[in-house]
Order: sequence, then C-alpha cells, then structure tokens
Amino acid sequence: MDWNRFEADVRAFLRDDLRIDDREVSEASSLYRSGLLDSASMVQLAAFLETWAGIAIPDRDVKIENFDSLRAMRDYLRSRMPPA
Amino acid sequence: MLLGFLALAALAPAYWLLPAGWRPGASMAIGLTGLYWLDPRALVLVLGAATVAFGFATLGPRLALAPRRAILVLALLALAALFVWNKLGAGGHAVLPSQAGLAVLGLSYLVLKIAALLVEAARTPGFSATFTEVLHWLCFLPIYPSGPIEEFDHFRHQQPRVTRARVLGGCERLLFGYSKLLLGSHYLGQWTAPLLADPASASRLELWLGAYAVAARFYLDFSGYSDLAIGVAALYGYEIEENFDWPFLRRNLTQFWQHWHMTLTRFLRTYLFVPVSRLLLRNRVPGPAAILAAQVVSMLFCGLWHGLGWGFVLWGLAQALGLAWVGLGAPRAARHLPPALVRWWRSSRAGYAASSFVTASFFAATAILVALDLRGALAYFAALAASR
Repeated sequence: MDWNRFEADVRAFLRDDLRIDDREVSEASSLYRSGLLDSASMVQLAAFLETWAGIAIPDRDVKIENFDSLRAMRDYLRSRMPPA
Repeated sequence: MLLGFLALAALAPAYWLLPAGWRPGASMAIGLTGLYWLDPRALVLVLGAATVAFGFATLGPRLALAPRRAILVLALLALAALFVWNKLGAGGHAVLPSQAGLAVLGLSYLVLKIAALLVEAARTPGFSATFTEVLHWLCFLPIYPSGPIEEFDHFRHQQPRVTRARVLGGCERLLFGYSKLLLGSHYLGQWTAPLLADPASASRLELWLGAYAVAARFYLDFSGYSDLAIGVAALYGYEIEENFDWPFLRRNLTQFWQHWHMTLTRFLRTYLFVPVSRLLLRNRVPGPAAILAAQVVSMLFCGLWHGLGWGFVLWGLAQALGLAWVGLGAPRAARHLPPALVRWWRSSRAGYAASSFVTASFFAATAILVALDLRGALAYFAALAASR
C-alpha cells in the first residue's frame, strides 16, 4: 500500500473497470451527485479499496459519504488504518 | 389525511408559544395523541415497536454475535408478518396511489424504520438510543403516514428551531404539496380513470399520454405528500430529509431512482443491495451476476412493499432489469457503436433530452402495472399494441 499511488490507482480503477471518465473527477468532486457513481459501482469500488488497502470494509461503511470523492475515500481508509 | 396535515399546521402557532425546551415533549405528545385519534391500533403498534427497538438497542450489544443475530432475524420475520397482515388484512392489495386496503395507515413506513433501526443496533459498535429518542422518531406525526423515511440519526440529534425562514419555507412547501395533490394528482386521476377502465376504446396516442399521466400522477401524489410532511415538520422546527428531486429530468433509470423516493432508495441500497451484492461477490459469484441478482432482490422488495400482487412483482422485475441495462448492458452495447454516436449521446443536450425521454417512457409504461390489477394492465398493453 503506497499512499502516494492512491489517487493514480483509484483513477485507473474508475477509468478501466468502471468506465468512468476520470478527467471529470477532481479530488473533492462528488461522484454520486454528478451521476458518475451508483450503487453497483460503489460496491465494486469497495471491493477494489479492500484489496488496495488490505482491509475488510464492513457493509455498514459502504455508503455514499465514504466513497463520494477521492478525498472521502482516502479519509475513510485512513480512519480504518491502525495508528502507526 | 390531507385535513390531518392542515390540522397539524393550524396547531403550530400554539406550539411556537411554548418555551423552546418544552417543544420536543410537546411534539411527542401531539404525535401520540394524533396516532390515537388516527387509529388506536397505530398508537399501540408504535409504542410496542419503540419498546422492542429500544430493548434490542440496549441489550443487543451485550449479547454474543449468534444470539444477537437470531433475535434480529426473529424480529425481522415478525415485522414481515406484521407488514403482510397490514397489506392483506383489510381485504387484499390496492392499486397505487390509493391507500385503501391497508389495515393500519402508516404501518409500511413504520416497519421499514424499525427494521433499519434493528439492523443498525445489531451491526454498529457502540450503538445506543434512549426510549424517548426512538418513540419521538416513530410517532413524529408529519412523517408517520407517508414518509419520508427519515433516518434515526438525522432526526434524533435535532433540536427544533422555529425561525421565520423555516416557517415561511414550511408554508411554501405546504402550498406546493396541496397544489400537487389537489390540482395535479386529482385532475390527472379524473382524466386517466376512463382510459384505465376502458383502454380498448382509446387511440394509441391517448394510451401513451395516459401512461405518462399515470406516472405524473404518482409523482405528484407521492412528492405532494412528502412536501406536506416536510412543510409541517418545518412549522414544528424540524428539518426532514428530501424525498424527490426532479426525477423525470434524469438521464437514465439509475439516476431516476437516485432522485425518486430517495429515502426509500437509500433503504433499499443500504439494507438490501449492498449486503446482497457483497455477499455474492465474497462467494465468488461473477460481478455482473452479483449486481443483477442484488438489483432483482432490491426491486422485487420495492415492488412488494408498495403492494402484494403480481403487478407489483412484474413492476419490480422491470425496474431491476432496467437498472441492470443501464449499469451492465448499455456500457457493453456502447462498445459496439460508433464512438462519435456514443459521445454525442453522453455529452450533448439533445442526447440528454432523448435519454431522459426514454427513461420517463419506460417508467410510464411500467407504471401501468401498478395502476391497475394485472388483468387490467395486460388489457391496457394489449390495447396499446392493437391501437392505431
């Protein structure tokens, strides 16, 4: 897990697996409100982030607030990491 | 029910005279009194549901996982039985948007709210709630009969704030709500009634317009009641979650459902779609199959929640297939089309308008399945196919 690669890896997943044009995605832009993210893609994104971060994401955390933007994803994953 | 909202609005000025600290208690007292007046059985059910939910929220975290899950499953099964009794108890299912045929008004919403609270209490570490918080949330009268399905956490942390802006905003929502219900929904209902009763004698254009009118009526009816609920709640100082956000202006069925009955869609996503799809994915079911299966489960539930009948089953299946087409089928189909056409469809205003029109037409056509019983709906489709 390399936090320096986080944004590039997520963008690659959005582009290659979810077919989302990542040029429309900024650090804080809302993927849900802009219609780029839906329930199906959120579930796939959660699976990708589980693999990327090496953690299990419980169902209760698979909600829009945690996956709505690159920043929200990063903040959520960091909140789940054990303190260094 | 329309007069009930008006009575609540008329009572609000007396509520404003109370000291701020008394208002939550007064709101709860109005809710409990109103439920008794509406139907004493509703009051008993709300008190019982609040007791069970509070008991589970208090004792559940102290239990080991297995007994906690067993109690949760039993409680959900009891809620399902209560729901079925309510839908069938008064003589069978009704067609939308009629509320006739329900044993106890508002029970469908009560069941979903309690189910959500029980699941959250079971799966959220450190979850706690007081009996008063649960009871007030369940008996809050503006949202009791017809939603929105307000989230417990969103409601319980609110301190009612009666401000000039909020009261005026509430009055505006009431005006919108009554206009939608008394003008839009009522007259569209009158216009579509003969078409639905005798589709064979109508032209193809009339039948298509009739389907659009049925869909528009559903929108005006459901969103009208949501406006009333949000408006009256604002008069009492509470902010209730929005339920509709121009769904017919959305470009595909997925976005349509993200903006139609949004609190129900959130319930379906949170408690059905996400757990079912993730369970299947964890069990190595291929992604598209897992997504499709979860869509079918979620939208079948959605259909049956609206009414227990074959028309609602078919309607739910149709929505699931439509959602699967948007998420799975259309992107694959797009790979076989000229890139310039796909770009135009996705980025131009004309493409957006065409896509919205197709989405609205799909929803309108499927609305016939729940506006009539199944035999009537099939007769409508047969007339549409045979008409000129």
